[in-house]
Amino acid sequence: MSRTVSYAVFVVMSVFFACFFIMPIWSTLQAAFVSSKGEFTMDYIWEVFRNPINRECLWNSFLIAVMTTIGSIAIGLPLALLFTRYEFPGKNLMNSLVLLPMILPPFVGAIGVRAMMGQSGSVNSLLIKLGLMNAAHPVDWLGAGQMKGIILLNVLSHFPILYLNICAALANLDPALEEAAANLGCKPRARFWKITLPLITPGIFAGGTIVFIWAFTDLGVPLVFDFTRVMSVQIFNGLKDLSGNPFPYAMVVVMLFFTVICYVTSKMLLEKSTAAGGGRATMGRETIVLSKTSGRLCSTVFGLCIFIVVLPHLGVILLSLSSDWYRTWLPEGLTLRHYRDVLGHELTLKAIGNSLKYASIATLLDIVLGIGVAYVSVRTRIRGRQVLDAMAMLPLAVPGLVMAFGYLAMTREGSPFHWLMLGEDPVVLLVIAYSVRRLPYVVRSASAGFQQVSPTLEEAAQNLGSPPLKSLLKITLPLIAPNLIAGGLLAFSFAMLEVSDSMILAQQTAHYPITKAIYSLVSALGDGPYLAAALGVWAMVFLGVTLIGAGLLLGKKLGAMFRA
Amino acid sequence: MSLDSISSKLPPGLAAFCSRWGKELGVVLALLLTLAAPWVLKPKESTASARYDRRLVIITPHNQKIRQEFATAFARYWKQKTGEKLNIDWRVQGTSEISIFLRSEYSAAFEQLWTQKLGKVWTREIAMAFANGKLAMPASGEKPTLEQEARKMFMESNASVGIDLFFGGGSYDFQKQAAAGFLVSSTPDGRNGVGELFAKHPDWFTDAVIPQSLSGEDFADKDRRWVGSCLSSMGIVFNRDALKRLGVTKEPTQWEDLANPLLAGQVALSDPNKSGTVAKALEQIIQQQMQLAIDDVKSHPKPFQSVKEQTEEGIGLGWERGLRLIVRICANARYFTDAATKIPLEVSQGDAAAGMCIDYYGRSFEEQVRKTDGTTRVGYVTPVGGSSVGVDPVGMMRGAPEPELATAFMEFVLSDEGQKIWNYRPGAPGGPEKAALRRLPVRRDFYTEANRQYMTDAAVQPFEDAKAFTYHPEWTMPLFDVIRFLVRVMCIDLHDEQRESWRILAQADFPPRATAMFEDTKLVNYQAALKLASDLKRNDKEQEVKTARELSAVFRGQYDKSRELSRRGQ
Repeated sequence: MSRTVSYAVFVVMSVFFACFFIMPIWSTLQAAFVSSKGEFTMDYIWEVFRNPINRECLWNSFLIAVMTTIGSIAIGLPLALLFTRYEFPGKNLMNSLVLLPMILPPFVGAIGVRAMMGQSGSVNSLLIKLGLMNAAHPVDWLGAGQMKGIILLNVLSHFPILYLNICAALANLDPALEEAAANLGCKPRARFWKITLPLITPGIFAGGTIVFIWAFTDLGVPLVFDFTRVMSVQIFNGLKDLSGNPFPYAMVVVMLFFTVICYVTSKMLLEKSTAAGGGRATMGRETIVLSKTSGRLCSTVFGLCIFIVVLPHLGVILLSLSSDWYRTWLPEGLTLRHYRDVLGHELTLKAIGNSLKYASIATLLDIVLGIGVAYVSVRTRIRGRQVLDAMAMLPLAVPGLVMAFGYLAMTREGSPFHWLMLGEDPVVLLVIAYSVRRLPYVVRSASAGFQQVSPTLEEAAQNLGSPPLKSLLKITLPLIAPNLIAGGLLAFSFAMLEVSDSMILAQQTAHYPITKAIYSLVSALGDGPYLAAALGVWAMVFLGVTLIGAGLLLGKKLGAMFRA
Repeated sequence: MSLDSISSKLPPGLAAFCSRWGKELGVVLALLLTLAAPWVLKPKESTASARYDRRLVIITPHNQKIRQEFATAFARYWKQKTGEKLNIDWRVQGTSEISIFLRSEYSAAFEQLWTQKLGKVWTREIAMAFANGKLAMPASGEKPTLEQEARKMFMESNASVGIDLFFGGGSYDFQKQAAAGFLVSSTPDGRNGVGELFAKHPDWFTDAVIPQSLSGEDFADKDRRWVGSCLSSMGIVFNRDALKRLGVTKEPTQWEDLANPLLAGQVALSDPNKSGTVAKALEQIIQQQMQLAIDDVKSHPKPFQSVKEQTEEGIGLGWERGLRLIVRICANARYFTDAATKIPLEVSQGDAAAGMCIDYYGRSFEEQVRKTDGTTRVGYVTPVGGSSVGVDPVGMMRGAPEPELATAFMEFVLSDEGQKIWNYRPGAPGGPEKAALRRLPVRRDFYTEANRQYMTDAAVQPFEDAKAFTYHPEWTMPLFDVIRFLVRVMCIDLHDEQRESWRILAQADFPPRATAMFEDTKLVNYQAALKLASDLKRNDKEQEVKTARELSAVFRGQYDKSRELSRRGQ
């Protein structure tokens, strides 16, 4: 890319971030720095550290994030290696099923977990039935040992992100390098540590940072467990406090600060240690067909992981079909009534259409922006590119509520961005909000792609007379397509399941996305959870078909692409 | 039939197409099927169609069933009356979000008025002052300050946030919105609003129909900015199976029963800082204790003590007893949820044994899990003498775009037709279409034999129950925010420590010194609480956070000390 174009991309990206990320955040966060007398103050920030409860919360958040990341790598990496290296029964199906955690709508997941793990839930009832638990003293899984539970649930729901990223990295890895090492007498274990691992580090880093930041700032899972001693819940509670308190904003600032520190440190460590990225795959990878026994073992390991992961899904599905479910390990009676009620509800059809509209436009925008940010930060030497890159990760660390209130503030009547409201229709605002919040996934995947694809290929094309922009479009982008697709799919499904922005920004029923429709159903008295579960199952089926379909369709082409 | 056998029967071109594109076709077909389901099942009639003559915008925390029934009924009523097609546009949020939302929207609306129409500078002081109901107005002849000017201008303006009505929530929320100036009694032309209803139906606003207040609770605003539309009270929801399992033999009837140590970790509560209703329930616990303490003091009169002094002593005593009871109940809490609907749900699922909730939540769940033999595992009880009967109001917003419709809606809700929807069985003449709402109508004249035969809660006598408890706002109203604050500092922030101490205390069978240490509330006695209230009112967040930190350090110390004492059996 020529210098002018690079600068243009840089400027456009910076302006976009200034308008739609920094401005909304600043408009809400400035409360953390303005004292009651209207002067600048750091007192609120220091106060956050003075309180022992806050210190404990910060430490707990950090601990959860670290353990979640380690756990996710421990599951995601071996599974990704098994998948790329070996042939075993049900391989492609398993590859699709691993993505299941990503299609579970947030509140619905909580309902499912409750149905399975509650004191009178399915798991306890089964254990009591089998005589493994005293009926008079059932274990309160959700009430006790909350930290461990949170980490476990986090790992189970987040490891697919690492799995996807590592798979993409492995697909980009030139098997010739590993074979060369093998030819020179390198043992498999040493080969893994010395060749494979260093070369796929960008993929692990890409997935790892997302999982880390997510777990560090995640609100949904601690809320399911009603665990309040983490930063995100403290902030959430503070924001919902009616008194216009500046301290939750101070906590957001602290949290943002630590996120940036963690991100920058790990990035610096990585840059020091990484082996210089190799070239492209020069040959196809020959997968090893496993013997019957080891093949089955492989499938079993995969299958077991998937089974644990889909427990909440099972809970949701059974709940959506049950007439009542209490103190039995399976529902007492089955019915399709909830599906008829919820799909026939006047909110549903419109909400589905809205979600599809918001999520797909946001994903397209994300891919364009993601390529831009990743290109500038990986391929150019423009000053400030690091800032842009870090900035693109920050949306993960800002609570959705803060961003949402910020967007609301900047589009009020009389504000410079009021025209974005298009009358009363928040579609533009929601698309921007969705895409800013999902951008990190695409940026990380695209950066990993750019890092792995050697710039020499593009330079060769330029030497042969291709204009810079054309060689980017014709050479590099097709080569990093798997990364973009992986990032895009993540962005799409998370946008479909987005909660906080929609809660605040979609105020009229006509603009509700599906998650807000589910939320308003949960609060319907009585059969609310059953209805929400039924609509949740519909959303899972839709996202499942999309993801599995994409996997099936692209699976063929992904393979073909690497051998070209 | 396998795929092969299908494709063998197809013409060769199509077969080739299928084998080439089979997978893609399958995926597309599956997607289409998924999308078709809601399309096929979509409802024929809609209350929020895209084409309409007029639109009514209502902000509400009411649940979906209430919204649906009232929207359908009112749209039909209006169509019959005028032939116009309505769109009822619900903006649904929790009461705390509504509060934040209205404040920030009105602030923006007024800022525009202030800066663009008047060309004045928008400052922090103005932003604080314009919606401050407590701002003293200048005496006549005095020159108003800029703040006073802003407040006056806002109260005279028709600043709009595009919303017509606020419907549902507690009277506490309505009082707050009304005091801020967001609710109005009539439009500037005086033709619409609650005030107009008072003028049109003076017979509705009498003690026999909708009293201005009952047992100390306001049923309608004195300044006519809101009026109650249905009744609500707080009570205890419980799970009979869970109580039996825990060895609790007697079903709960009073708030004290929630403090039973057998229920440790099994009581579902909401955070009073997020829910005005729960804060209100805690206030009632304290009021009940005050009433009992006053009776105590009066039955053992000290020499030379006047009735007034006796009452004052009782109030102080009751405050501390009430706080101690709250501390014990909170020590039993499994968690402090932010969504009040979660409580009856978890109780009905057996995840919690008992909890505090609004009457109709409890009754709905009791009904929902009723078996064919008439037994039900969920029970609901209103603590007699410990819970007041309040209202869920409706009121018109300042600058309502459709004041005529808004007034008609309020009139409809208060009319006989509207009141039937709250408690008639579905399908009964004039009742709701799909679901029983199980809420109690606000009109006293509704509770007749003729109506009772169609009511889902025919046996309930809210106006009789209300007599058992008289609410004395002057005792605790100034301490409302203090209760919230103290529960946060003493119970929510320190919940782990508190729970642990409570467990050990129960194990050691409540040794006296340890128990006294655990529930020592001397530091926040009635006098100290009043001082705290005036501190909190200053809205100095720095000071507030500092106080919270210091108090929580003290209580943390007490809980630690109590653990130690119980271990030593003292």
